[in-house]
Amino acid sequence: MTYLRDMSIRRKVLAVIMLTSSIALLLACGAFAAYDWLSTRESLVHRLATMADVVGANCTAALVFDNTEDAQQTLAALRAEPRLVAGDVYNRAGRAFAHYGSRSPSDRLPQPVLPDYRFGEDYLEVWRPIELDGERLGTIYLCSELSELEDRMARYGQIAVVFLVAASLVTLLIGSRLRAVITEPILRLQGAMQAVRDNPSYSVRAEKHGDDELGQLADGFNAMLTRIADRDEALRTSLVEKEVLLKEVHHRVKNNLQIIASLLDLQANSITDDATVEVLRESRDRVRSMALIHEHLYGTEELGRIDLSDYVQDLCSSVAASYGLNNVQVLPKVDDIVLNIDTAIPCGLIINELLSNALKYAFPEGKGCVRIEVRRAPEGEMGYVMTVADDGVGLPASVDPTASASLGLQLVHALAQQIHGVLTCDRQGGTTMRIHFNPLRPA
Amino acid sequence: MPLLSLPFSPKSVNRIRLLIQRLAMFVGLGLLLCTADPSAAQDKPSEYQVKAAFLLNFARFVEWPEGTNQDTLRICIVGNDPFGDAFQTILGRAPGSQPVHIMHPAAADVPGVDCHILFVSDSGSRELARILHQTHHEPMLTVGDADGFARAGGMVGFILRNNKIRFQINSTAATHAGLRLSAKLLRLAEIVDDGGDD
Repeated sequence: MTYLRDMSIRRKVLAVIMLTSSIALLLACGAFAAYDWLSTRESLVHRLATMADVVGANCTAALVFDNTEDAQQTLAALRAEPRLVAGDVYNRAGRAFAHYGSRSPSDRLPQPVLPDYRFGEDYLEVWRPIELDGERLGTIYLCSELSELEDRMARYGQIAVVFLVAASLVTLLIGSRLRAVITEPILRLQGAMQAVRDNPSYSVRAEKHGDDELGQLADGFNAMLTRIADRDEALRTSLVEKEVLLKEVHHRVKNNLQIIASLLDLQANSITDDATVEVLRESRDRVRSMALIHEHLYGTEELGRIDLSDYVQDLCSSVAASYGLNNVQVLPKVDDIVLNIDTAIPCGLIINELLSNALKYAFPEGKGCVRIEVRRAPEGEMGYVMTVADDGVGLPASVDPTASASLGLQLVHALAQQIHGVLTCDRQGGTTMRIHFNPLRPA
Repeated sequence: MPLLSLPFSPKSVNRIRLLIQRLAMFVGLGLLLCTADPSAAQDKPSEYQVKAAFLLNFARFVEWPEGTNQDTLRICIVGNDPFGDAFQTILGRAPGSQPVHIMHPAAADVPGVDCHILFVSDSGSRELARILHQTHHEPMLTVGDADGFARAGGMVGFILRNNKIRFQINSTAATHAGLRLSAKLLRLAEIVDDGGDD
């Protein structure tokens, strides 16, 4: 059954055609054979009965004049029929009167049977009355072999086999052409389906070949394609509109953050206390680093994702410019990494704090180099490694980066935790701050 | 094969045929009861009982010329009657049958009698030649049991073969008299000719 289920439609249709025609043929052959069997039996009975009547009529005088020899001679004429194995004449009282054949006759007429014939396994027996002028003179009994019937049935079987084979060939020939009526539209529909599956566009349409169920199927398939294409189009349009809207939002957020930064700048200009000015500048730089993120967001193709390399470049330039240390080199080196906004903002703020700290404290002589790197973690480890290293005076031994009173280091510590990072500090040859972080939602 | 024609309407022809058939049926029945199945009869039938049955049965295989009155089967016995009550015995076993009329004309009256079957007994054969000569154009089936009866011009002569009663037939004589004998009857008989050798 599984074999039938997995067969191709072409084979299935052909199999159904062949099976149906074969069954019909077998039934027809069977019916003909049965009819022929019955009619042959009937004609055999009729022929044997007629023969018995003829022979019986020729025995009337012999019976009347009690002349057994004559009856024997009459019966001897049955030699002409080789299938006849026995012929007996019984007189009126049922006594054997004359006999023909190799079989020894029974003395008495067998019990009268009705109808006046009987089919044995391979022979046919017939009893007929012998009458003269309406008077019953005796009975004639003939027994014939049934080889004719057997031969005929055997011949019938052979014809049926030949006929079945020939008809099957013709059916195969015609059926394999006619099945296309059913299978072709299905195969075309299947082809259309494959084209749609392999091709992202929904422009493919199924060919329709008539108004039958398959035609309706093609219609339905096409209607579905049209609706999917329409929805796809609507979704695209809506997505574009949302992207535009989102860019607009990022743009405004950036503008507002820049306004805040500018306001902080203006505020700092009007204050004379250096410490306060410093606090305001730091705040301004933090706001700027965030504004820069939004600027990059609406500038990129993919909203919500930041190309870290470009961003870090811009950020470093911006921070370095605000400190105006011409002899300190700021060297960002970032792998080709894309992060989502949730990770990118903490990263930006961390870089901002560490770079600012370096520029502020590491180079009292105003000369040195700061390297900023973001790289993928070495093979076998997840996440990224962010490094800010300077070759300046180094962090004082009293300062613990994880438990510092400085707002900047506190921020770094908190932000590193936010992005599941681990902060390490290396004080050999300047200060190297390294954060191994692993964003939960990788971009 | 028409039995009778001109003087009778087809209806009466049929009726006559029917009567003959019915008669013959009962005769045959009686014959079979006593000859063919001896165990069914009390005694083995005598020679003349068999011959009487044969006489009655001959009528079933003989066609008389058209125009012969066949209401009653008339049997003439010339000479001594050897049958005794054989006919009565046979016919008595088939009550209601058509009458069979047995006549005993004198040998001298033979040319004028009107019979279907003329039996010339052995004792009457002294005049055999004359009788046969006088009747050889009459539509009568001449039967006898004298030696060489058929060869002498009679139509059916009883003989004994292997202790069984058989008969010779002189078909030429029957044809001369206008009688038609059934082929079935002829097949059972030894066919002889006038003056021919046995």
